[in-house]
Amino acid sequence: MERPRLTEFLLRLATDMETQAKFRHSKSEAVQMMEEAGLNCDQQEAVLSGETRRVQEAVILETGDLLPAMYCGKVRQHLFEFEVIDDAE
Amino acid sequence: MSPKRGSLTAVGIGIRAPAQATFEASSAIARADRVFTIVADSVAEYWIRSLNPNTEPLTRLYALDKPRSETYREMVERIVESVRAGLVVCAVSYGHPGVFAYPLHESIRILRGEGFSAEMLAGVSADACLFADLGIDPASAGCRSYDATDFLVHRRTGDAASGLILWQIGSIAEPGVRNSDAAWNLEGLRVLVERLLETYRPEHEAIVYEAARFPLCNSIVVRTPLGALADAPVSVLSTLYVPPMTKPRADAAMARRLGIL
Repeated sequence: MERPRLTEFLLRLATDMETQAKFRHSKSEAVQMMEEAGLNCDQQEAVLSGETRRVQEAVILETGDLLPAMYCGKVRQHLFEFEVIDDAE
Repeated sequence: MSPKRGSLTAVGIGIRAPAQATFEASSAIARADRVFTIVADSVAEYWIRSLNPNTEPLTRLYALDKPRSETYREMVERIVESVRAGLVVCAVSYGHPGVFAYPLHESIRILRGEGFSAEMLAGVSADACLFADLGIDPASAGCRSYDATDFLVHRRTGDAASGLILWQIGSIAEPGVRNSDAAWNLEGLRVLVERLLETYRPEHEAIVYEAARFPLCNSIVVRTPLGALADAPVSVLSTLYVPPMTKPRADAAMARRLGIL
């Protein structure tokens, strides 16, 4: 299986503040870093956009995972176990 | 009596994982015999797997047309069975493991009842990100917090003098899951607006918020008059913050009684 280059690059950005500072320094430096990491043009544009949705879509395209929306609502089982209030009472 | 051999640690890795994961969460993941994950993106999943390859994503249990309640039962079963088998288990959710995380609370409850060691470690939740991004100190005017469905169904009363956080405004009354980022229940959102307007003026500004989930991304902050909330770009990940509209009135008798007046 091909290496998930975007995922690995995001992980590096998230965990290495020095890498993050270098990325923020200038756009040309950011582009160079992404090219060195092997990101394609669409992936680079997504990261540069600073938009969570675009990055998320690019990650999904890379990994083929389920849409996060499938489970992003988190979990709240108890909300559907009501003690019913009857207006008529 | 000493606890049985298997154990459970429930951890959260924040919304912007792994940058918001704590040291103790990382350590619990790394030293577990088995890791179960309920996380919302592949970057987080990849990071967890790099710490511990014995990782099983429980999100695979979700399916379209399958009630969440059934999915949660299966999640609890997977976690509890592994601990009963004598394994040191770490269950990982995004955000805070105790906030909107029924399977983790339930697993801990069952396991403690059976004499196993089971604990939860705090994580960074969406409201923690909201306070930081919007510059809100919940101590300044108070802040009430409800799931949007809970707010409507249990007739929670409004208080225009305190802040209000409503979670899950994009999935009001939705018992299952859908394969879409957009709000799952627009009619529910309209009902919510109707209820909020019993307390707030329609022009009162509210904020539709979504915390950033990747490094260098911006959180989504959309300011909208409450009356126009149903037309705002609400997603299934959105949280609503309604700032106070009025100032609270002090109870002079109580202030005197407390010796501060």
